[in-house]
Amino acid sequence: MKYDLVVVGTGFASTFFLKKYLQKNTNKKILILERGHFVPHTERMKIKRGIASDYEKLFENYKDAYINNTPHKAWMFSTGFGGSSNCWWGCTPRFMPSDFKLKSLYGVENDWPLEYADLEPYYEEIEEAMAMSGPAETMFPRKNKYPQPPHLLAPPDKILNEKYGKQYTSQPTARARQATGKRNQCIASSICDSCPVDAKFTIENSGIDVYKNDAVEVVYGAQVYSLSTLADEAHKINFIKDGKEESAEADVFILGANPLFNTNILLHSGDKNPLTGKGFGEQLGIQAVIDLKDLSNRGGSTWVNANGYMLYDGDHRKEHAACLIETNNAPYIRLEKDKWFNVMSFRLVFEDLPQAGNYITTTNNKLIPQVFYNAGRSQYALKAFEEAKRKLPSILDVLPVEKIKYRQAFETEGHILGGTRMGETAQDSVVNKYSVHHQIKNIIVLGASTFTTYSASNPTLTVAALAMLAADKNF
Amino acid sequence: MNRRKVIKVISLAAAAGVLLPTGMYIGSPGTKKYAEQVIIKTLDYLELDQTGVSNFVNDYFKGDDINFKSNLRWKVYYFSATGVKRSDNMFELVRSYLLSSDFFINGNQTNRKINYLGLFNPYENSMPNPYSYIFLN
Repeated sequence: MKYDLVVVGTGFASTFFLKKYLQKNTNKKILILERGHFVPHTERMKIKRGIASDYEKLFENYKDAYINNTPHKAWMFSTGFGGSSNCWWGCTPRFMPSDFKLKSLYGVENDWPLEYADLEPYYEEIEEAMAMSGPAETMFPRKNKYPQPPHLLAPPDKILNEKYGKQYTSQPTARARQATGKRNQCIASSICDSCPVDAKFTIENSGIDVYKNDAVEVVYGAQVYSLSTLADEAHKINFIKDGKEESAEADVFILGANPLFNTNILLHSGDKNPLTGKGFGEQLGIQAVIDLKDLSNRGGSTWVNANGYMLYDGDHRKEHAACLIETNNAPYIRLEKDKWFNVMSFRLVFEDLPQAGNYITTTNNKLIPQVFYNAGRSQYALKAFEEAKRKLPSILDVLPVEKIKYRQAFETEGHILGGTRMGETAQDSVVNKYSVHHQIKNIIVLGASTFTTYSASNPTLTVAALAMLAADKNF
Repeated sequence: MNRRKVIKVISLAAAAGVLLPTGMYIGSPGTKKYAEQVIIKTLDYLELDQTGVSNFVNDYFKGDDINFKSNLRWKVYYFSATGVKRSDNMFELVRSYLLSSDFFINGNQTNRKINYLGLFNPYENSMPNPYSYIFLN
């Protein structure tokens, strides 16, 4: 049987692509190939609590799925139904308009082939679908209110909000402020990767039932490794299922895996673009622990109470990176008497730049990609951290700050970005603005692998918006 | 141990301000005992249930490989006046004890005995984060 579409993966990109596609197209036959399996939230919680579950054997250790040649830099992901929705932390700021124009505004790297306005209607639709909580005013333009009210600010957040207004507000988030039909209210557990009260949006609790649609057939445990192509057209997708070689034919192929596997599949499929796999990376995250004199930080209603944009936009981006501040509500307790809660934790998230020395490529095992992070962090990001250290004391001058301590950079932000970047032509990119592969034109590549540059903002909302744009404009 | 290594060890110990007398190390109790004493010393403003502290430390180190090096490190933490401030490991130990106790649940009262409830596991505690607004309601 020949399908109209074959889609690889069931994470954010594939799900929001299918949501839009199925709104517009009927009487289609769609095959979904999911590498992992479906593990319900209830079973995930049993496993977290040390209770035996038959589902435990279905988890894949992500470290076995690729080779990391530069292990000092970690790359984390989750395979299985729902993809990274099962390990994300629910942070959903939009990108800033300037994030798409680094070259024209600041002379840095490259512009995306699209603008903020191109994604705005999809941002709006996704925020509704995720029943997101967010502030009345944001630094990025929005037309309507968020579906849910903002999360509660803690006392130091309120002081900063008073001084900086919309530059320092509640974080837009898919951690529910109010219970929905499918999710409970967030209680600030601060273990959002597997939320104990199921308050975070996941594909499982989303109510977006694209995988139950009659047009859709889902195959689990299908490890895709290549597409068979002829004259730059793909006609068959190849995968291993239960140890056996299998394949499926279709008119169009949608790659919705993470950058490691999107790249691996393309490089095994006759993709001749020398840029494929090049320039992957992620943001740089560093924790600043801020001791406060006589000011408690208790009272927030979610994990990241607030986002700060005081170090984000501006001419400094000609010289160094934007920084998004996440004010973290994890139980970071002081040990001195009566000062247990007089501490804030900022996660300073710096954008980084794609560099050719950081790349994904194939191995002798067609199922397993390998990564090299030889170039490491750019000076653009590292300089921004030095500037942040210099500026933070004056930014926080309305708070009774005793001391600011900086920790080592986090091993990972949990985001894998780039590798099949989008652009105008095959000379500067792998896919076009609608995520269509420049060379093999019936392949659409979704997910964070298509990011032209990284932004300092969390990628998920933009991943989903790009997927909806692709479904809307290509069909 | 060659001369270079001896100098390195002495230098490191001196840098930490904790040159331990040999007899103090040989005659001293093990890692868990020092971990208990670190908790008691750091939280000296609280009355802690001693058995509870021992039980916590046993649970905390369950499965860990306690060897000569870790034993020495914990002694260094204990005997160093500034150890608690310098060591992330020790900070995590004491923080974990507080979260595993009834201290925050009972409103941070410093005039009542603090009891160990069971090793902190945010998936099992109904109110796992004392920063949450729920604790204030």
